Amino acid sequence: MKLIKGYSMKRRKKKISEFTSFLENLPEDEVTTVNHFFQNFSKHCALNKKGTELLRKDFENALLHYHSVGTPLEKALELLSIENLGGFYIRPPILWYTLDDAAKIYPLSMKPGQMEMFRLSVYLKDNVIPELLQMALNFTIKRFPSFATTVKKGFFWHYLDTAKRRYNVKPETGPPCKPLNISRSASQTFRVIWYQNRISVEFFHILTDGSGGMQFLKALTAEYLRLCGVISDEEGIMKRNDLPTAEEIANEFFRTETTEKGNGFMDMPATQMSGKLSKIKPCQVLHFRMDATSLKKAANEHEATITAYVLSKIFLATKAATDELDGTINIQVPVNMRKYYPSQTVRNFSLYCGIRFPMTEITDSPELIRQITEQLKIKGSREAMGEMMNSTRKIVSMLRFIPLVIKSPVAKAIYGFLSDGIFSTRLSNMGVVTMPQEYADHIQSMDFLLGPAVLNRATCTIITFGNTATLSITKMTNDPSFEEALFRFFCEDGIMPEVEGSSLYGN
Amino acid sequence: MEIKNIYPTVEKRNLFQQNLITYSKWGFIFAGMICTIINLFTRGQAWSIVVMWSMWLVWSQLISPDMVEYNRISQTIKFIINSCVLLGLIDVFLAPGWSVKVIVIICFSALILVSVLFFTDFETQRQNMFPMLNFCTLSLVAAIVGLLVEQSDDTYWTFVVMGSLAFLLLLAFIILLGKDFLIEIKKRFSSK
Repeated sequence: MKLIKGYSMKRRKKKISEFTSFLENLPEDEVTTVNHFFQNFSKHCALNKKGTELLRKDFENALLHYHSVGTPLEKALELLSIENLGGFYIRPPILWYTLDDAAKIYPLSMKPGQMEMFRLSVYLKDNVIPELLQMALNFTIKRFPSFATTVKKGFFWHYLDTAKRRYNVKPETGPPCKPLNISRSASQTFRVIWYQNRISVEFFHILTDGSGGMQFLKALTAEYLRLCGVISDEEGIMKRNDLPTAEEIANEFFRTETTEKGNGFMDMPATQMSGKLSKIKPCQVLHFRMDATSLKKAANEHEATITAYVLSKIFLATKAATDELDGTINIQVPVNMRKYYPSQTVRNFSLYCGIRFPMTEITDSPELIRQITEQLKIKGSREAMGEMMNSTRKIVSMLRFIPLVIKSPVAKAIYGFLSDGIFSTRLSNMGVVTMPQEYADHIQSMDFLLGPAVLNRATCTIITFGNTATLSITKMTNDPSFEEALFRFFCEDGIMPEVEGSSLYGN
Repeated sequence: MEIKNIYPTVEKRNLFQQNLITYSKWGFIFAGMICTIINLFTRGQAWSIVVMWSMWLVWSQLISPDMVEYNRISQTIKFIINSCVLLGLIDVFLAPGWSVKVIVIICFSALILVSVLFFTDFETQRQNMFPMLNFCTLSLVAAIVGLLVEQSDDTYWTFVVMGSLAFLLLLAFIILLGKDFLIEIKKRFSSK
């Protein structure tokens, strides 16, 4: 009898699966090895019936893939070693996490079709093998316990409750950053999707910020490439079998120095781009792939950072994309607090500052870049960010004993009234992302997308991998003025972006 | 500017719920305002309050349902509580003198219903016990208050049944969940 345990004759008669046929063609000793392998699997999995079946099927599919590409069974079983599951799928869910201070607003402000999302993608040199990506996620998730959670309602705040389940990898079928359905028991708060050579992870911001999300994407990609047979020492990657530490899930907003000073969140409404807001958000996403050396050279010519240089172009493009002649353009620039308070946390630990100019002062001149640099220095300083962190703490502390049932509608109303109207757009610079050389050799580029905004017509991000700097635009209007102006300004400076993206959704 | 398409053709997104919320929101607000104005001008009983609560019930239950913890337990309890409030409002503003007994009977029937829903799918539903816990506590407190205040024999037994059921359910939670019950309480009432 070559069938492995758990495969009854009744089921076999019903449908001889591909995996069963695969086993039937194996020599006796290899069937015994597979049998032991799946016995060991049973020792590592106590999910419900459906979850166990799905997880087991993932192993079967991965083994079939390895077989199809001629990988010896022994090697395949070694790569898929059950020990990589750790105790994640066998232990009961006991951990839970209060939301960090920055995350507390996200569940309060969400509405049907509107959720704070962001997306990180990696482009490989070969097409993605979904069977191995699913296994990579199955092995990686245990390293990020605060991601293996679902959102729950408490009496005072929402919180994250551990959800022991098999986390899905799916092919990409929807527009980027589509809201997640988190209403069901054990719903995922992130999604892993693939399309051709791209692996993307879309996060609900409640879980993490760009930095934490990137740690996850790097770990997932590294694990995927390991399963593909790439060997590396995984330097700078959160290794799948290391134990998570308390520092990695800490709410670092507690680290603020207590000062009397606070920095308000209120501001005057900013000028918005003029295009009509689309019904489907985002209505398009675009990626400007630029030569990082040329971009750096252009920034250096103005003695500015890449952020300041790109901001100047965004100011000019925003001005070109609005019919308003008067008013103020205010660009939100997220600041990674880890640079001031070194931290290992994968939770949210970033705040933002607003770089603001009256429209009349926005001209294509070195003076604009100089002033942007100055504002970035002052508004993004440790002191200013400390004040904002202090304000965040104070607000959270003030609201902590108000029941959620009261807080929720009030927050929704306030957020609905203010939303992102005090900013014209956003620019989030993730900086330079590195991977160990062995893995980097298999990666083409990376990109980063912000989820749709409420009033802003476009939001921007930059990420640099290798010698490619990718500026991504999430669009909420069909009006192409903004990206066309931005493209023109870069070309004028000798940076010739290659433009990739989506078609217009809903058209 | 040439754009190379690197994204798949997407499934058509269903915007029905978003559109329903957008368009019906103003309809509901307008209807509420009109009812209040007519009620103020015509005087008499405050029927507009009953209308507005009914509209809220339809809104929260059907048009804009919960985005977190939408499950059979929470939705049943939400519907029962909203309905009981509606009955209470009808009693207070339109036709007094009957609702206490009816509401209590509805509540203990609801306790039976949700406990069936809960215990028939215990492993999954234990994650959704908070609304039920709240409902049991609320029922128990209401029963104690009712027993202290209400002296009529006609309604007395309903409070006894509701209180006993609520108490037994709370006891069942504590016995079945043990330490997890305390952890659940800690999670749900954390103010951090």
